[in-house]
Amino acid sequence: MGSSRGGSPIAMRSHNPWTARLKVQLVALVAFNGYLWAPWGRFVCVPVLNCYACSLATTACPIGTITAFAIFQQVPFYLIGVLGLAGASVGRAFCGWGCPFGLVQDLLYRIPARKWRLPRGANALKYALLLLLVVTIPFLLAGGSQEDASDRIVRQSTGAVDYCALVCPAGTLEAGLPSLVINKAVRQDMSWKSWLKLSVLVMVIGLSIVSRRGFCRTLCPLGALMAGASRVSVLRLETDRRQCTQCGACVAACPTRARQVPANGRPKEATAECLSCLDCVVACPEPAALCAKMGTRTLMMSRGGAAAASTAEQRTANASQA
Amino acid sequence: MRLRLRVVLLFLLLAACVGLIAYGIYQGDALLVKDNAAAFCFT
Repeated sequence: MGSSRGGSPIAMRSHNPWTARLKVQLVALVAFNGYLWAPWGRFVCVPVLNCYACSLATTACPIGTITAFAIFQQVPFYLIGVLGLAGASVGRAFCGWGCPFGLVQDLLYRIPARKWRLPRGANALKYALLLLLVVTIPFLLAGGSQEDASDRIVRQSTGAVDYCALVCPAGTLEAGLPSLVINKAVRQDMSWKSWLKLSVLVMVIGLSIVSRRGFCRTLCPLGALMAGASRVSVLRLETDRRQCTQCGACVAACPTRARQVPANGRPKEATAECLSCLDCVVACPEPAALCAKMGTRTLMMSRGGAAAASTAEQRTANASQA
Repeated sequence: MRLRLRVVLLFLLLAACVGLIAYGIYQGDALLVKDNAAAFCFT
């Protein structure tokens, strides 16, 4: 079993990983929006949806960066490397543990309301948005030299038809709304695009209240870009088939419906939608039936397993004291 | 054997990504990223 080969599971020390995740998310929120190293930190592209038009933002947004490179008609080698490195090492853990807009959604979902699950087919929308509004349309509309394209971006001239300009609710929340409150000129210059983006934000807030990570699943082009990273990453989930009772707790806990139980088998490992949030590991009631591993090292195992391991550890400690 | 192959492939993938980052920085991608912090349009 994995736990015996690997190191000490986190679950031994913390029996409430949701709290641990919330803490990590809050730290990430400050790290990415604390204006701590904003003057030079925006060289760094981090795989989270965090608008770098916000004055507080300390890192660059991958979607804004891809759009800019599409307009420049250049291949973003640096960005591909960053996303590939993050995806191959920790999968979509940045989405589950680091994304500020993911934190907003997680908090909104705590509001008591009737909850419902989105159909799996809705997941396809984000791929269309990535293809059309992040890559193809900016690329086709750009044309001309880099100076022209740069001028077009910086001056925010007319004709900006891309995800950042028309859809991104993270940009509206982090950069649009604050500038609307602070800057009188922005209030006076509001156009149909402003109203469209505000409407999208309101809809996404509503969606987040009734559906867990509804935006991540349906509208986030970064989610589309990173889809499948959890399948190949060093960080992975492992089900102990001897321990799993097919109770379906992990499937119910999964915010993106990434885990599935086939009609005649055990729950499937991570699919393209897995955020590596590890909520499934927390929800699993069977001892050590489900664990998250980084290579061969066990990071976290299901609660039963953690309890059993703690007991075993305590017994060992008692024995050594005796 | 399968695990070893997976490890080798992952290592190659990670190395390729580091190479892409280095090449991107050499090309000036990082500067381009920073300079476009104003790419957002609200109005």
